[in-house]
Amino acid sequence: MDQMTHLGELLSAYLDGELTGDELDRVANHLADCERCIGEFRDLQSARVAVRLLPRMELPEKLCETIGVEPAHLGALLSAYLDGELSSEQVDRVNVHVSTCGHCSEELRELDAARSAVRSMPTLEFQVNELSEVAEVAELPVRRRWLRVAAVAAAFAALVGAGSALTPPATNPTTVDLDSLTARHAARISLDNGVAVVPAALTEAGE
Amino acid sequence: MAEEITPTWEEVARRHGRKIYNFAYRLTGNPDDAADLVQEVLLRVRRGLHTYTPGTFDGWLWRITRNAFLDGVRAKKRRPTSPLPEDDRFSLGASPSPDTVLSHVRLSEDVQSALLKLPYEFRESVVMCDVVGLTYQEIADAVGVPVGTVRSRIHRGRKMLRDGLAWTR
Repeated sequence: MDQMTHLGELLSAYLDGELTGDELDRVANHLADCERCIGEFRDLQSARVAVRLLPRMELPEKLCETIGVEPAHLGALLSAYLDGELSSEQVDRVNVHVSTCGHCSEELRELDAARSAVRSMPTLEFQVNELSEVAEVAELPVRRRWLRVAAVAAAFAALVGAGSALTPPATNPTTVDLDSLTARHAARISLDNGVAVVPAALTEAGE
Repeated sequence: MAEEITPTWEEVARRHGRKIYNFAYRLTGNPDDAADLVQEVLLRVRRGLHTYTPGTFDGWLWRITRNAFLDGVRAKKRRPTSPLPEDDRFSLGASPSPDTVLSHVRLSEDVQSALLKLPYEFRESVVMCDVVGLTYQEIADAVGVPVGTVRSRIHRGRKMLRDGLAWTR
């Protein structure tokens, strides 16, 4: 194919939606069978995307004060940032913003401290003989089941409140056979279904 | 983009301040220069708002922005960029290995660095298009050149960026 017939700068204009009519038709037709222009198109597209993905900088706080504009802060993005739940573009945005915004930098420190405090709480053992209480609940009618769920939840909350003062169970919790596990798993599924209809059960109880 | 009602100065600051800041930041890579430009542009807007004719606000604003930027550069008696390459085609140095190419190009620092190596006219058009989001016609109005020149500058600028970032091949 003659070099003069290749698309050149029409490719960038095509990417930007700046072509109409004959030029648009020409690009579409040419790209259908020209490997060279397809390759150039991809290169240009990559360069275009790279610039467009550059993080958009927030106005620095000091400048906001000078020109009388309310500074934009990150809010909920900060917790998601700590939990690794942001895209790479969002992470860039947070990094850039926090480096210049005292408000968000301080909020990030506080959130990090609160998050660390919660995560450092001890993990309590949930003993098998308490689980058996839950399994029994699955056998009850829905209305009574809900009342028992509440009772078991209250008992569990009390156990959690007791924290490290929990006494060891009379039986060894590690000696659980497969049948017992399967039965409890089935009970758990049944219990979940029961909980899903709680609003209706409560309505019945109120009648 | 056409606007029928003349905005107030406060509206200009609120709606365009961040775009102006990003325009200058990506052109210079310098947050202080970018903040200075926002203040200078808003000062000029305040002085000149009574002369604005409704209908071409973006073109008017970005002409002011560009002129303020170039005036600032001249006032500091320095080029708006790091030293320019002798030729349009350039490289950031040895190409990274294929395994690291994709991760490298995603780093905004690399893209910013490659952007700063573009000759000013190309960088300006690319930033106005891909950072600010102006159309070719709006860029042509702001810069004072034909649309065909804008198209050519954006195309050549992207090709240089692509080579500078040492993409595939």
